Amino acid sequence: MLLSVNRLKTHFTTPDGVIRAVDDVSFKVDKGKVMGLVGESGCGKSMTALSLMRLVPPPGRIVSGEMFFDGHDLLKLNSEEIRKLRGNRMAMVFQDPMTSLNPVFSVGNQIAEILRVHKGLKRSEALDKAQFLLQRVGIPDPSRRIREYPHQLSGGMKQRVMIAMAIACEPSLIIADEPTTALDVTIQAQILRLLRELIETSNTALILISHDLGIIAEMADEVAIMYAGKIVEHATTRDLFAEPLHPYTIGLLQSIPRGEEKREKQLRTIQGSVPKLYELPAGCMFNPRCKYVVDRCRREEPELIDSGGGHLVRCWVDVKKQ
Amino acid sequence: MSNELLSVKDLKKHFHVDEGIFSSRKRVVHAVDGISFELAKNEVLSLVGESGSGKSTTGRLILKLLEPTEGKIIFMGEDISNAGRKRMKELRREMQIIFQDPYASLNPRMTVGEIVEEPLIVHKIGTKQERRDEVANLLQKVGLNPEVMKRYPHEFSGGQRQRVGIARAVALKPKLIVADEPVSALDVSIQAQVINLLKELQEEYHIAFLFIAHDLNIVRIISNRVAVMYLGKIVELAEVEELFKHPLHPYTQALLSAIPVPDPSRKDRKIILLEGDIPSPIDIPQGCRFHTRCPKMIPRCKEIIPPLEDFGNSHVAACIRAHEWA
Repeated sequence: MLLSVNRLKTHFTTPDGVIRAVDDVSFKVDKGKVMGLVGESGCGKSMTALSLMRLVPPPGRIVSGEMFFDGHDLLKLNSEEIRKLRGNRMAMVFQDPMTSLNPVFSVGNQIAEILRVHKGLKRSEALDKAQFLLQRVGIPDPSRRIREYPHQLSGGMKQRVMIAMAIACEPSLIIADEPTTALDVTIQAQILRLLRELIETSNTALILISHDLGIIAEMADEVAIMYAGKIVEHATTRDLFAEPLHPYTIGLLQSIPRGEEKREKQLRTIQGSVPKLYELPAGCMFNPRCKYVVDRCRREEPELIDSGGGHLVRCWVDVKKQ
Repeated sequence: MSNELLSVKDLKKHFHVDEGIFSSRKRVVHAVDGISFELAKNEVLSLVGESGSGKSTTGRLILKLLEPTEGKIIFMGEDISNAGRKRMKELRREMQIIFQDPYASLNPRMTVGEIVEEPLIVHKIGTKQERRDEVANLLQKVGLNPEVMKRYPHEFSGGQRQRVGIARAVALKPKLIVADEPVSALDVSIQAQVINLLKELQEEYHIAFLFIAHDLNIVRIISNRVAVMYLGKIVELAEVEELFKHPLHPYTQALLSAIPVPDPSRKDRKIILLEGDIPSPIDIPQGCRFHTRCPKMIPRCKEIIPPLEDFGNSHVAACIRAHEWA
């Protein structure tokens, strides 16, 4: 077990009330495995990642729960200790490489900086390693690129630099938050291939955050679906796509256009819109949009329970019997 | 062709960029570099391609939101390439646009009712009461409660705002709507709702759509025909199912194979992985502009600019090797 998250709650106190951005989230990740975290905007998937890195922005706060990573109790570490882990043992790749790189340093210096801080390498050694890393992530002509600045690189190149920075210290966990959303499909395919190669060759674990179920199907070993701060379904990728049990997951899978449908046919949809986190419905969060809704759903909130074989679902209704 | 609504002939748009304040050298971005196509009444033609392919520029050229550098745009039989502002204002009654970003494209100081009514006022349609009734009717059509008329855009979610943008675009019952990535800023569960709405309106009002998108799954659902663009040129154009089932251009083949499939049992399907990045539209490669990334490149591709060739079934592609696998 590399990472274990137990009943994590990250809340924001705002004038509109308390926002439960992450609400009672638990999961585990093993070495070399890919865990997919799926959901729509505001579902808490990015905030879960930032909680793991202890980078929750104010007024957000981790209010309860436990997080164990590689033998460390993440919530008990002081800021110096967490800094030693971050970028070193656990690293993050953000969605937008344009804003996550520092525009006034060359990409070589930005990668070298990490190696000097965490590995104590000398400047020349660190730059050599930086050049090797650029080559590793498939950047052509690394000896020239190492001296270039972020604005001289394309979006796909910048995302490769971000990945080079993330793997610089050979972390045991990478958290990638929508790593290809800003990229074109043919470039996306390259980046996903690269991430998969890195995981396979170095036994790194990956938490892959995405709204794209296609990417998740191709990359993840297991998937957690989040809705309004909570995990509503969690299973192996195979089980989740073969037999989704939560009405939200079913709706999401049905609303993806797959191209096979006839032109005349309407796409299936989930009615309504994603709720605001400060005015959540009573009972199950999904009940106003759910087509399987029963009275109980409006009164009582379901727990995440094992429906058999480790397939977890948070729903009062047995959709298989419907 | 009497059924023809729009015809574009050898359209070009070049932007001039300065090299910097210390350089007198001028460089040219070939955003759209000689494209031709026709759009029939009531037809949905999709333009697909990656960033920098020129698809959004094409949409803006057709509405004359940008002035073309060269080429002709024929709309309803009239050459509008050189039409002035006054004429364009009249013509825009028949041609509207839906933008990608529902947050930036609605005036935050206007109520939803005012936003939808504005095109009716501009074109002096109906009395105040008639316009108000029509706005209520339009809002209902796009799935919004007419009572929202007095509310402001910030009170709505992204999907609802896009519905307002759609109501505004169809208010004049135009013959043509350019929809520039209308759902790509929306959540997955909301995208399907908006696509269904566009299909309904297209069928009810017989509006032709130039649908600009990079999500090929959505394109397959909504289009009659699809044009694939790469670096300012159309590289392939065909009926939608023909294109998806028998792509002829190596770029189209790579693009289609790179779409992630939401089915883990097909995880190991073969993906055509392209090498390298999309070249800059300032330094366009010689010969075929795709040759730098093409897995099927032969030496001749560096020399010859491939013309669009007809492969039957109204399927055209610009690749000198396409006959080998057509």
